[in-house]
Amino acid sequence: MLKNKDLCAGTLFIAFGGALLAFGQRLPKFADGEIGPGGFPLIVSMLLVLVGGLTILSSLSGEGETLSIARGEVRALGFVLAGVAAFALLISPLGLIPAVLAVVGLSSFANRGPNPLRIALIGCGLTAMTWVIFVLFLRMPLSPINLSLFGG
Amino acid sequence: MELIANLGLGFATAVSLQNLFYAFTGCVLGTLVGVLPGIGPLATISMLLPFTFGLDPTAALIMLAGIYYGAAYGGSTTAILVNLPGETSSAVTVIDGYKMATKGRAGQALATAAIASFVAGCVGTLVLAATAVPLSTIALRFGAPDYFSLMVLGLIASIGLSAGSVPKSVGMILTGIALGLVGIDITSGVQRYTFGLSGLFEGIPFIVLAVGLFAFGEVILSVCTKENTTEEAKVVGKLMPDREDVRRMTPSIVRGTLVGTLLGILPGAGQSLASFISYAVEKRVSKHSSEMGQGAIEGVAAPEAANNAAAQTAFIPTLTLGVPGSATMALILGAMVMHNIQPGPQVMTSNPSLFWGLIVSMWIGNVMLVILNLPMVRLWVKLTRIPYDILFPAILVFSCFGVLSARVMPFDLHLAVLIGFLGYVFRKLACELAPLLLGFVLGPMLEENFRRAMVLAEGDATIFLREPVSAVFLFLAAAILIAACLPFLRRKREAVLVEQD
Repeated sequence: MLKNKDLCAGTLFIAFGGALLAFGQRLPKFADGEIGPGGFPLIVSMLLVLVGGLTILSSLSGEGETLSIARGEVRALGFVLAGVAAFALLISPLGLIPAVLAVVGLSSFANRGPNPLRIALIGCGLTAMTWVIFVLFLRMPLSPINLSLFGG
Repeated sequence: MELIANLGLGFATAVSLQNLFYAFTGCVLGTLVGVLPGIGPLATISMLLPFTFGLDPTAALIMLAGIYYGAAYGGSTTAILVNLPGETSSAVTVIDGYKMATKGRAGQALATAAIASFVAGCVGTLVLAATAVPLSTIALRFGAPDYFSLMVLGLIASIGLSAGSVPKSVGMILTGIALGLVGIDITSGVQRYTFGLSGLFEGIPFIVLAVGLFAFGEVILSVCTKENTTEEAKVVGKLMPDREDVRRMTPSIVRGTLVGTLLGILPGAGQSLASFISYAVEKRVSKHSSEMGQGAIEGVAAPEAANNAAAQTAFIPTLTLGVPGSATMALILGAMVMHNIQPGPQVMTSNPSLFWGLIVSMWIGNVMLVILNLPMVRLWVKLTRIPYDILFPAILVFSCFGVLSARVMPFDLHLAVLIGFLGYVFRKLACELAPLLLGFVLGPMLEENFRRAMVLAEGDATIFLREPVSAVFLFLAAAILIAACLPFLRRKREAVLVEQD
């Protein structure tokens, strides 16, 4: 039952609509002929709930496709996003080199059978490339490596 | 003769050394990334968008337009050489293009694609220039209610031609509008859905949404399905088509251009439908229809012409009305907003050199692509052979820097992770992402015009039906919505759209 794509999508839309409604409760909606900041979100949230309901209804016809997740997909999702999160965490305290190496290293686990030497080479190549493009040419205020955390 | 004066102004802007340089850089970068297998045009533009941040708006848009058709061109190159369509619009080119390549005629297939694209691009650009003035003159007379209804129509039309189920596509539009609500409300100054996070005060940055949904999303789905092996190398062979080829491709190019020009204007229809329909037309009309599917030159020329003509005319609603028809156009519109250009009919009058410079630079971009691509075909062949285990970390790293370069706030990257996850969930649930992006881009303008109209009408919502222009737009939107829901039409629509995927 839960594997029906339309059913899940409809539930998701209702959840979004509900969240929009709940977090927008305190926004003023309508005041003397004007639409307040909460008015339009109120309409959008109600429409979302309505459309979510319709999506669920259409799933009951039994035509909906079932959800399938390929092997290794969750693994890929986890490691790719973990790599990006690591980059975000490392870039300002530690600098460009550790951050780039972290994305390349972590995301390599998303792939089947990463080869350590190859990954290391790709990491070094990308570090050099991004340093030249983003710091030298586009002048982003990033340091290559920040050792001050270690008293350096 | 206003058109000539306008184009003159455009040439004066576009031919400056600086703008020529950016058009060229855009074309090269777009083709370079677009050629890489597994990176579609949306991911390409999202990834390269940051390179335009530091430029003045005119140069940025010129470069972006270069990236846009560079990516499209790169996509067809990959389609012909590797049998791998990077985007739905080159899905048709694959059929005969790859067959030609296996017969050792890859060079001629690529040259045909380039010539067809160039001819169609020139025609498309002229149509764009000719229709821009009358269309925006009409649009400038629109009031807030008309605008609101026009945007509703644009959003609904975009789902009328997408493959997914109607309620799901509407839900995705609404989700996009909801994401666009985040940030400080410009009218009242009240914070909405920011959760007190300063990174959200200005709303969810456009680049974060684009990279999270498209760049990260594509990597996650491709990384576990793609093999790391190198693609087989193709012999490029002779480049120039012979006299017989030219004789055969000419009528196909003309027909493809016609189909593409017309379909590109429709919101939502876009390039994929244009190339698909033009292929179907060739199959009916061409004298060599029996060869179609076996490596017929018509099967490359017509869809490529249609694709490129549509790519140009898709700019018509985007530039003159501020209503993008496709996800790619939504990206271009989002980039305009990022550069503080409020899209809409006033762009042409308030910023004529930008407007006409952009149009002329599109034509120059087409010239550059032909000159650039034919001699560089052998380099592109090498690029299509880069294995995916090198490609995907590179996409990720460049995307990270892209997101970061907007404001240099690591918070944006965390947000992109969240949106990347959401994008994955939506893909798994067969919810299309293009309507979401359109909703996100149009949402703020939709709300602004809605509120303005309500103030004008003193709170009376029937104004949208009392104003004639607005009523017509809403009526059309309702008609499309109802038609899309009818079971008979739905099956037909699915058949058309599934076949092209």
